[in-house]
This record gives sequence, structure tokens and C-alpha cells, in this order.
Amino acid sequence: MTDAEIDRLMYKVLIDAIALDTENSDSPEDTFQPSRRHSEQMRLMLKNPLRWAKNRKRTPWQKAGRLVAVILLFISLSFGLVMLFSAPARAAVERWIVEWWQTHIVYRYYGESEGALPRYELTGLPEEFTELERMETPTFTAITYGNNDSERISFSYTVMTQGGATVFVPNGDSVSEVTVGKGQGRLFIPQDPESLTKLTWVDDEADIQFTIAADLDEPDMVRLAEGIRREKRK
Amino acid sequence: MLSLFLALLESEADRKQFIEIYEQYHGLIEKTAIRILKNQQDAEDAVQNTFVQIIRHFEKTFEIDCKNLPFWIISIVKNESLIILRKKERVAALEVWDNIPVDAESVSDYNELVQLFSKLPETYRAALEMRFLLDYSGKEIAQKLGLSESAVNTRISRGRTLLKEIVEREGFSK
Repeated sequence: MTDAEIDRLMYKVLIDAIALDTENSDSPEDTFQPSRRHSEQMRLMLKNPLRWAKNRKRTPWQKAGRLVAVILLFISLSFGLVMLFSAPARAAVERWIVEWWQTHIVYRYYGESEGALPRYELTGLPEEFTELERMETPTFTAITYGNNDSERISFSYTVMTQGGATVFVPNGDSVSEVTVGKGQGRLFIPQDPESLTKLTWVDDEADIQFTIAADLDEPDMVRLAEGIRREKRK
Repeated sequence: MLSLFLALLESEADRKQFIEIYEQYHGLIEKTAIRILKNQQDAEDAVQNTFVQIIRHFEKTFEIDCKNLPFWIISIVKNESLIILRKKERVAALEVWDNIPVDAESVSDYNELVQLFSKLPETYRAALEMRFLLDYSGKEIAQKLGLSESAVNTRISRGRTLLKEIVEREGFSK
């Protein structure tokens, strides 16, 4: 038998094995009772399957929550290790470093930052996007923008202060350097079409690291990043 | 970014076909998801992920024999549910392959062959289904199942070898 014939037979065997499972899997006790959220998702899907599939990702709120959790975790870990690392000595020459691990990339911060975290916003948003949610802590802000088609853009920034860190888990993403304004940023293009592209960069003058997550291509991501504006204090 | 897999489904006829698939099979998908996951929220995630995969592989819905289409769809929902289970670490990671070649020795007809494959360890079967039914790459399967790419290749290679040996020994093909 040729390889192609084996592959065709494999297809058939696998399909028939599923059919066999189906014959033996009647369990009437399990009932699917769709939530309102699920029904809404199905309605959107049937209205425009392409757009829905494109937008079907983990919710920005989950992403933001996970990012905050990671930052908090690293804050606590780093405080525990501060004596071992002698961070103040390093902080004299650099405010942040990037650590490349096998599974993740860590932006680790050194030194102290003064003053309150300013407020920023994205000014170059695609049409019909508006701010939906803003979560603020003294050192971190996450803003979610969205439109009526459930498309979301997440914008977050954190002050680079001693003991803090931001962690990226590329998980197969293609990672590349890009220019954002006068500085360098890092672009994470996901392999998984359900994931968002992420762009992160550091403003060394403000001691702030910014991150945008959106389903946009590289030029649009950079354009969005270059369009951030610091809000004036009221 | 998604333009590659979304090239299809742009015409009204495609959309109509998609809606027909939804109407015909959403009950089956939901039932399969809730049976495996036993949790409404997880099942909803699996159902939605399943439809994303159907959209992604929409061209296959034209290629697959009508009578096989529901089983192809079940394969997707089953594996999307398995991915959710694995992420939640509710599935034991230890899987034993060693008994399979022993069991294979008693296979003498096609139905027994199908039965043998229906009893493959979960990630072995998932890897084979993702490769042969959905055309996923090794990297994609590894990502979905939380395995290394070499572990995925091992599973696919063992499955193919097993099938080849049985077929050559028994001399049947269907």
C-alpha cells in the first residue's frame, strides 16, 4: 500500500471510529442550556461568520486580568529576591532589561519612579471604536476599546518601578523588532489566528512600558502606537 | 491575518451552506460538548471554538461525503473539548501505548480495526484526527494539545505504522 492509500484509509478508519463512539454514547442526563452570552455569539456568527470568527478570541477582560495577575506575581517574586539580585546597583545603569526564557520574555524593571502614573489614550483608533472599560491601579492601567461588532483593542501601560515586570508568553508567535516613533518596540504576531497581535514598547523618558493588543497588521499596530496621547491633568 | 482561511464563505451561497450546517448540526455539537465537558460554560467555549474551526476549514465541508460530515464535525468538537479539558488539567497526562500493538495482533477485519482505533489513547487519537481529518500541521497540533512537536510526530507515526502493519498483515483495505 502506498503512503497516500494509507492516509486515505486512516481518514476512513478515524471517521468510522467516531461513528462507533456516537453509537455508544447516549447520555440523556447532560443538557446544553445556552446562556444569553452564547446565544448572542451564535446570533453574531450567523449574521456574519467571517467577522465573527475573526473576532472570536479570549475576551480583553480575561487578557487584562491575566496581565495584572502576572505583574502582581512578578512584583511579589521580585521583592523576595531583591537582596540576591542587588538590583540597586543595576538600576544605576539601566532602568529595564529584557530576559529571554525558553517559554516567555520578561521585561524586568529597576529603580524607582516618582509621581503618579499619567493617563494615556489611543487617538488613532479605527472607526467606530470607543472606550469600553478602563482599569486603573497606581502603577498599571488597562483600557479596552471596542465597536458594535465585538471587535476589541486592548491598550495597557505600566510604570517601570523596582520589583515590577511584564511577561509575554509568545507561544509560537513570531517576534520581531519594530520602530515606534524614535524608539524600538517588539511585535508579537501570533501563529494562532484566534490570538491578537501584540506590540510593546518602552518610553524611557516617562519610565513607562506600553502594550497594545489588536487584530491589526504591523503598519496599523505601529500607527496606533505612535498615536498615543498623554491626557492633560484636570 | 485571517484572510487565508476566510477566503471562502464570502459568497451568499457559502453563507447559506454555513447556516444550513449550523441548523442541522448545532444540536449535535452542543450535546457532544456538554457530554464531554459536563460544564455549561466550558461547553459553550467548545461549541464556539468548533464553529471557528468549521469556518476555518469550510472548504472541507464541500469535499466530505454527506454521511461523514457529522462525524467530521464531532471530531472537531471532541478535540476542542479535549483541549479545554487539558488546559484545565482535568485529563491525566500519562498514556500507555504499549498495549495497542498487542491488541492489534488480534485484529482480523475492518470492524475490529475501527474498534482498535476508537480505543487509542486520547492524545494519540486526537493527534491523528487533527492531522488526517483537519490537516493541521504538527506545530499546530502540538500547540493545541500542549505537547511537544516531536511528541505529536511520534503519535502520528505510531498510528500510521500500526495501520500499515495491520493492513499489510491482513491484506484488506476499505
